[in-house]
Amino acid sequence: MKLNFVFILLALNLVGCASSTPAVTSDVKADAEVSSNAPMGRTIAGEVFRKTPLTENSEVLTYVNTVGRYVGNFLKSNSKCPTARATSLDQVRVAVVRSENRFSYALPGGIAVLSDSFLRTLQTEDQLAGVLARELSTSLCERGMPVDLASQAADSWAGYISSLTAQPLPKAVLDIEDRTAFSTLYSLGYQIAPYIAWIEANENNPRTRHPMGKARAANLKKLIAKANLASSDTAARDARFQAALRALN
Amino acid sequence: MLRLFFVCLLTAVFVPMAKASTIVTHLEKTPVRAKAGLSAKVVTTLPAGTEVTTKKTSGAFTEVAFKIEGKTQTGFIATSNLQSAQSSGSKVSNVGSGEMKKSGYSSADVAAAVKGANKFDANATGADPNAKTELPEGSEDQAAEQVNRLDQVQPADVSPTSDFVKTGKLSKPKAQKK
Repeated sequence: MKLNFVFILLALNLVGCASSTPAVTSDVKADAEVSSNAPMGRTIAGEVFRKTPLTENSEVLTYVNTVGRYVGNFLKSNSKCPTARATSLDQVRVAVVRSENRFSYALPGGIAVLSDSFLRTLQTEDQLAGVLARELSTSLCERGMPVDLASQAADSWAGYISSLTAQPLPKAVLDIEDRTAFSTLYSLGYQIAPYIAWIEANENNPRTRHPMGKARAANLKKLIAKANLASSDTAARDARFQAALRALN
Repeated sequence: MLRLFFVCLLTAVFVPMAKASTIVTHLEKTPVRAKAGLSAKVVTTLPAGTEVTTKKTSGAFTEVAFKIEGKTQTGFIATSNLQSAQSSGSKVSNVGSGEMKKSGYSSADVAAAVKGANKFDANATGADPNAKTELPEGSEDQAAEQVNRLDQVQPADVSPTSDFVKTGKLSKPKAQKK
């Protein structure tokens, strides 16, 4: 009887070691090898801009890139990802592209892409900051991509991006992105409630890999209530966001 | 008792293993690099006729060395994009027409690169799922011009004492006492 328990304990101990050691080794290895993925991001951005060119409006580009830099600076400073540390702040870019379709996504090396139609669905700078926190954290940390999708890209870039929409992001990735957006907004002085309102408003959007479920919004609301935050004055931020939107129109 | 022991052992082994594999999937940084031992550092476009020096081959990819602005760089490119040339040099073919993968991009690098691009909407970008996109003449220059324009955007100062932060009243809110 006692011997059996000894075996069980021994087995549990060995399994515990096996599950944790490779992850640590993998991180160390990646840290040593990794360099900024910004050149890759720019290569892919070139492909993207052929289909959906950048907006001609430099005022909007300057504004979203200023918010992007503010958010990106925080993400870079607080990230444990080797690629984020290897990316310079000058490489963090937000592209606003012309398209009737609403979309946002991240390219490697600190590039976030928003369509002008998507930008019009936002109402406040706080929402924009939340979206950029989500996208840029993914972009800088390049996490969550299954190996099979990466292999598809080797054969066909267009086929790859087509397949992405068919496969929702794992819940763990969504949770990480939510928490990253939450902590970024809080730390930078933005309000979190407008970002959650945007998540709720985009529920069941078929053009996203982020299922905007009620559970996610409810979970975030619960976290905010727990933090019991005082609201900040958003009037000036709202005004400059609306000015940028008017310039876009 | 022996049966109980084996049940416990199997549970102890397989349940944590399943959990561990999930974690590794998310932690894995560069599947292509890890799998094929490729460096994803260099990504660029190579115009038709660019001479590259071929090195080792890994799967469907070949390591190549090439010069850009006088600097020698290396990267991996789909072997199908290479055609034999004189001596040790190879030429990049099919640039600017046909399938996108043959536009001279280093496919291995793109494979690694798009790992972070996990929120693409193919319908939104208008990409052809069958990858039969015809690239218009001169589009290479157009794409480069657009990327340069994005690089040239000058964001405002976002330091704690900047107008952007002050005007926007961006200070960390204090938690309210209950």
